[in-house]
Amino acid sequence: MSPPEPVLLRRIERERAARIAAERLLEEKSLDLYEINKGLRAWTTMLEDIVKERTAELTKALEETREANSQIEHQALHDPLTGLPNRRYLRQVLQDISKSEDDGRRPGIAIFHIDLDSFKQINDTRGHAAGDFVLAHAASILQSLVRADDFVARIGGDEFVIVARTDGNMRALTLLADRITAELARPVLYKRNYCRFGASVGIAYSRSKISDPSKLLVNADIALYRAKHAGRGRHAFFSSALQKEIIENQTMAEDILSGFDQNEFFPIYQPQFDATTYDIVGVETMVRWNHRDKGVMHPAQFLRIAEDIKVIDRIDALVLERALGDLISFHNSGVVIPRLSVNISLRRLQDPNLAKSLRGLKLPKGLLAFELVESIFLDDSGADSSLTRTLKRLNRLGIEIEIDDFGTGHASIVGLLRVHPTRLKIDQELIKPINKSRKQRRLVQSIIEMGKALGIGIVAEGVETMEHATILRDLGCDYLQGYALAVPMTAPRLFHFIKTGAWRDAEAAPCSVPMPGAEDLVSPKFA
Amino acid sequence: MKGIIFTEFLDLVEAQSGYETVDAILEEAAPPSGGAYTAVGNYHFSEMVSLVTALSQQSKTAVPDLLRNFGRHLFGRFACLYPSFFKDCNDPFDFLQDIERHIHAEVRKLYPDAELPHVTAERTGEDTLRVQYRSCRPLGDMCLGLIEGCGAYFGVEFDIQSEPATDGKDFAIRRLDAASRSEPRGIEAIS
Repeated sequence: MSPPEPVLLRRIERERAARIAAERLLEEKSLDLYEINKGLRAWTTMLEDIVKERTAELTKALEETREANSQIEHQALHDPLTGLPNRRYLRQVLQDISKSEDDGRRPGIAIFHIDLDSFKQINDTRGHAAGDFVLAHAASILQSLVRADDFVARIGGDEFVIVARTDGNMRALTLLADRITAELARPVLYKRNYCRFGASVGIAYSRSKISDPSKLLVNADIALYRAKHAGRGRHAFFSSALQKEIIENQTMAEDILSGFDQNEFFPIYQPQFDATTYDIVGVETMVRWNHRDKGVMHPAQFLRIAEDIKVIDRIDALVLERALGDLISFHNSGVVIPRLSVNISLRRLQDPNLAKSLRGLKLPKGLLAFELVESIFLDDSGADSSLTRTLKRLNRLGIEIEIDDFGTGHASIVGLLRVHPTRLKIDQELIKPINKSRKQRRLVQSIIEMGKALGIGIVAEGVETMEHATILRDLGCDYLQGYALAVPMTAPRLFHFIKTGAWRDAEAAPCSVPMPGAEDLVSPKFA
Repeated sequence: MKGIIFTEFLDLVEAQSGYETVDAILEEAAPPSGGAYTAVGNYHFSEMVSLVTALSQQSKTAVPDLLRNFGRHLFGRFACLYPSFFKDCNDPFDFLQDIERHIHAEVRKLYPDAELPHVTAERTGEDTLRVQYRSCRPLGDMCLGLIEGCGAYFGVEFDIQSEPATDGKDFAIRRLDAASRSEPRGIEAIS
């Protein structure tokens, strides 16, 4: 049974009202949703902006980190002063070369080892800022001289290395080396003053691919050593002969050091005579080395190495000590040697204990003379230089100064005379031709006259014949030294020579004079 | 109060007593909304009170019984209308324990202004549960009906002891039919 009509009508009315209410609610909620959606979109946009901004920040931070890392890497492999690759980088490059494939094109490599000459002086006299300026300048010069694919590194101090691909064309390598030495020889203006320096270059190269390029670096270093010794501002190529020489030099250096322990160095003496009376006025003391395998060696064979390994002062000291010992022993046996001339090196003169040790000996004035070669004055010629002061101090101790090999060096006469030498020894190269050349006689005569004018005694070296002796006497020379009168000899022979007056015979009969090369080389061991 | 409670209540009255009874209680109660309820609307709780009161007079049935009956019916309707809250649950105790944490949390997301009761459940033994109902509305009996509907839905017979509390009611529930605890019997079991 269906409900009565009024009930149905009310139901319809209620349901219609409910539908309208629901629709209104739906509309309201739709509008709410629309607003919410709009808000969400704004939020989304804002979030997207934040994400973008943050992404940009992170990207920037990442780039900064990458840049910092690459900067750290760069710093580890580069020299901060010049910006050039450093020794570590060079090692890497050489390793890479050894691993690289041979492309058949310029397979060889050349290594230039460059060392600046006189750089230390710039640092010492003009300060480190000037030194740094010169290094940066040298770096830019080197970079400007090489090809784009060549490698330039500063491997420390004033040393640079160039690694260049080469087909073995030595002329091209020479050309580059010449350019380097020429460009780096130009003075550089720094704070209104010129810095003068130069460069020596050692070159080693291989025409074909090489498994261990670091060997080339060692060889270039050897060649550099040679270039430096040849007089700086030059280049030298590595060769197996050079390597052999270096090895021999090393062996000799070791032998010299063990020679001290084995007492292998000894003095020999060459008498000096009065040019008029032929009386012995003194002896020049020289060193010889009785090498255990090679026999007796002349200073020319080993002094350069001794200088390199900085033991020349030790040799000087040893010779002086032995010579003074001989002098005393002669004296005790009734043989008097009026004067002992001893060669002395710059290194020995720079020894701060020299004057002190000599003062302790209390030598009579004029008994000891030091022979100095001209070249000593080349590097140190100022009136107030330490060398001049040392020589003055020695003078006060009664030690005389002789200038050895006078006339062949490059030192100025003013510089030489500043040290107040007692005697000049005219080099044998000037003496030898006087019996044949009038011009040469005049030259020697003028030196003698200069000596006389200044009150300096003149000793002629290399008096090979009695004819020389006579000419020199006639020219007014004071003293003679040479094979015509006496060869260098060991202490026992000298003792015998003086005791017997053997030279008096030579003076009477020149043909009996020992010939050059007949030097008495018998070592004291065998004498 | 959500409109769905009103529409479900009137639907139950219509189903059990015909629309004339619905019309009669609406006329008697004369709710301010005019009785045109929609499930998605919001209506004042006092209208529900008037309707239940009118029905009680009309049917000569006590209000608590009406509310209990409505609660039992409502649980089935919920299961029908919102199956997602039921699909992962096989146990009435688990379901009751999950009301506050899960169901009410979700309702609040949908209706931030909804005034929901606090229903907390705590296990007191293997087969016993203590439920606390707290609300500003005196619908403890409807809550009892809902708990009974829950047991019927999951096919579990409950022994329920209730006692009044401040702002609500406490229920001590004991499971009587332990064997079939994991076999929900569904909505038909409630009616």
